[in-house]
Amino acid sequence: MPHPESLPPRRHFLGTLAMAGAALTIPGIGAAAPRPTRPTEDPDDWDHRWLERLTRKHQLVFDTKGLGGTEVFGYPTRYLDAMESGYGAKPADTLVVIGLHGTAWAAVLDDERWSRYGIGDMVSVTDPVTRAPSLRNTLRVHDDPARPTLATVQARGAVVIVCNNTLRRVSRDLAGAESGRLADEVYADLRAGILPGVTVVPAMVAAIEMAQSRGCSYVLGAA
Amino acid sequence: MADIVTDPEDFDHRWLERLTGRHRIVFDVKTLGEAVALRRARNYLDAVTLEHGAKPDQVQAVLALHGAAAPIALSDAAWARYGLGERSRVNDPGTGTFATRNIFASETLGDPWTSVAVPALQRRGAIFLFCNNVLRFLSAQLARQRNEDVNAVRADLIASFLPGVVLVPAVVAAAAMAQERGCAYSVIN
Repeated sequence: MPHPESLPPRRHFLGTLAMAGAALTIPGIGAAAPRPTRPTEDPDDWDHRWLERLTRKHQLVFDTKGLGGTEVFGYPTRYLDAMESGYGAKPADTLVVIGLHGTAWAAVLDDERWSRYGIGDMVSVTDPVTRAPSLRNTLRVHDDPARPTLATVQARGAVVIVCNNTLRRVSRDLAGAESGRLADEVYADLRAGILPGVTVVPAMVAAIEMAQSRGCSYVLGAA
Repeated sequence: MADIVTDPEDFDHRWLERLTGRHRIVFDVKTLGEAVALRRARNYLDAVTLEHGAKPDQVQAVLALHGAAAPIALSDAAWARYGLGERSRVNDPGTGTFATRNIFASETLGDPWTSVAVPALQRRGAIFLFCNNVLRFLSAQLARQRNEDVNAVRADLIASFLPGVVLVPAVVAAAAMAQERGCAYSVIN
């Protein structure tokens, strides 16, 4: 086994977990973070209020499976721009729902998790300053103010949802396949690191159907 | 990037008013290869009319072209002038070298896509849309490569649209507007 110092951040993290064994406490998890005693898929866990916001004249759900490089929020931005400038729609009449799954989950985690889990390395996002795998979420805010980000689409009223099945899968991947308890800890930590205004939905496939049932058009977003 | 002038008058939204067929679909087309979008549209039109028994005038396909698919909608002259065959890695089966004409619009006997060529599908009611965001990107890139004025290149590309092709503000918005008018949606990428 390579020495952990020679590994990229995520593998370093996983290597540390493997060496520490079952008694491990992840930094930032444990006493400081609430730990579920069981998987959190309780009907009361879900906040479905985002569906009640789907009352606009023009509304579109983006089925977003990847970050598209860093273009994940560019496509919804171009929709909003085109509806306004090309079709004369009022901003108050237009709404985007951005459904993140696949590898796009990374867009809605905070800087602390990006650093802890080496998310930049996992999803191939480079920090424009260090030119190394990013240890902060540059998809939330970016040094270039012209770049569409989570912050800019939320400022334009976007509903941003992320798939719980994806978070569960990522938690298992991060923890290692055989470590159920640890996967639950990682999952709780990821949930705690979801950025404000983002809603976790039980399954993207169901959320997309519900959005369409409430009048959304659909497009395949970034991949 | 130099400023590109987009005039709201560039956009003709009347195609939306034509979406009245009983069966209608918008294809979100991002790829060029092997004319997959054209063949898919043909298969749709065939299946709904021949297998499902719909009248041809009640079936409509919208092909919303963006990304790599945009050259489908451009003239032979534009393909030759801007080297679109080489740029898109499309060979002309007649010469075996990069195409200097739009083989996706050719109905010449012996060409590979004659039955699904753009004019052939248009005669069956298909509507072809061209994305303004792609037009901006392509105009800027070609102008830079050729050291030409970006607005002149943009105007030339618009003038190079095949007959009946419609410029839309953004395919993502056009695909949504088509769905608002009852189109189903399918991605070809």
